[in-house]
Amino acid sequence: MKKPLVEIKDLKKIYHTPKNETVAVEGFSLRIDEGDFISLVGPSGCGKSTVLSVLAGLTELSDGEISYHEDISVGYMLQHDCLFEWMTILDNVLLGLKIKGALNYDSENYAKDLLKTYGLGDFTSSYPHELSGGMRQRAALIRTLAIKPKLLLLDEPFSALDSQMRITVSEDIGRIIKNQGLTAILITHDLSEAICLSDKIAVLSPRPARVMNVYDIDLPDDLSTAKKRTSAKFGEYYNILSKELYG
Amino acid sequence: MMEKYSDEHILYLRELKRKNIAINLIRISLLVAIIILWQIAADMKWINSVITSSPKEIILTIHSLISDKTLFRHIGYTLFETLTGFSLATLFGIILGSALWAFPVASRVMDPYLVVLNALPKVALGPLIIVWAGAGMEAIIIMTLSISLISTVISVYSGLRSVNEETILLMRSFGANQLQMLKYALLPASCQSIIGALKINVSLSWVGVIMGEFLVSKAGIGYLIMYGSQVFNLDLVMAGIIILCILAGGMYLMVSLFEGWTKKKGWTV
Repeated sequence: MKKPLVEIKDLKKIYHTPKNETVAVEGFSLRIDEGDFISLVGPSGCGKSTVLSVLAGLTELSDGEISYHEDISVGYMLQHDCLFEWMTILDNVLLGLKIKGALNYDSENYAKDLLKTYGLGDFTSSYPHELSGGMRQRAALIRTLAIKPKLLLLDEPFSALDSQMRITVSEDIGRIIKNQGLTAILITHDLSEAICLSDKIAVLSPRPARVMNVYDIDLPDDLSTAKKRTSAKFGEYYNILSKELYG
Repeated sequence: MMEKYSDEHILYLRELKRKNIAINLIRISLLVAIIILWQIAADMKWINSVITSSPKEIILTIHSLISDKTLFRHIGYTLFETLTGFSLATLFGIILGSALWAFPVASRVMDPYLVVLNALPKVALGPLIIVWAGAGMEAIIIMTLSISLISTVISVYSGLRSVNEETILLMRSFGANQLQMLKYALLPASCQSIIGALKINVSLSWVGVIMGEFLVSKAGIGYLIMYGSQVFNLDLVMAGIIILCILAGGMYLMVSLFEGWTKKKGWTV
């Protein structure tokens, strides 16, 4: 039995502009257990990013409740890697620690160890433009991992990559997140990606976003993405989810 | 690390170098041709050299200014005023531009004032500044500051506002405060706009200083030009303008070198 980490109950978010108001999220409820990898899939502009932004504490909710079952730190990964070109990879990775005032001998060594473990040990003094797209994305993930988050929010982190690279990078990032034993929420438009990476997939309604259904995904973790995509179960999940999403 | 280029690439590099040399040669030849033509026109009396001066007279005037040891004093005055005005405008421009970004209410309040102050021909402030600051170097520096400050504030503020939303989101997700956002992300990211402002400031600073020296100074290149026009010594006026060209070009070169350094650091592209 998994331990619940975050419970979202009846979340509502309204955006106000001088001309109108937009209800982005309404009646959104979801339980996230420790170690879960949940993907949120739904139509474009349905309010998925708003949910993550509220969870990260960057946007205030209009109504509803978010209960964290312990005092957790949240890491956020965005569409683009947002690595600063004027900083070395190590400085980029240490950025969150510096801002939080948590940079010390131990935390720096932890970040360096992460770089080493995930194949960037030789690139600590390189600049972002010297890295490939996949390596940049890995560095961005390590920058988030360095602050030791318990919950990882991934807002379409692979959407800026080309389709070939997207498959390898998402597999790579998914493996790192599982290795670190983190809880993660991923927003993606790519059903195949969601099926390959997640333990659960929450299908959202058109705006205002609410959870219509949550599907458990049971594909063996040790299979490569290519093998997962060619398995019979993958096809079944894909058909069910497509039907739910597109009718 | 040794780079091994293909023969085709070596040919391309040679061609590129040849083109660069050719362009530089044409530039120099153009200048030399203008100087020679100007001198011939003056010698042959095609033009009235009393009002147009001539390269030879300009060189003699500069030589005499060097001989009576006044040239470097004048250059010193003008350079000091320009560099002080330029540095203060850049420093205050960055501080005020950042403050406007950090306090959105302040920026909304200040918006119409900035627009009006930017549109105002600053030369109109000259008499007022002289009354307030006295007819000395202070007035010239304040005039320079008044000319370039507002445009710097606007450039820096626009640069900070144009930093992409994801960068700000990332910084906020780390819990960064306004000062940390500026220090780690926004100021380095908007370095390109700041360099753009510096380049504009170079010319604006010279406008401010020369305008100030025309009005109040007892020394400086602007004073030399004004004095030359009053005694109808056009050789002195032309010599002053040539010296200004060299000084302004040198300052622009310094900013370009600084831009090159920021490119190496990855702050600009």
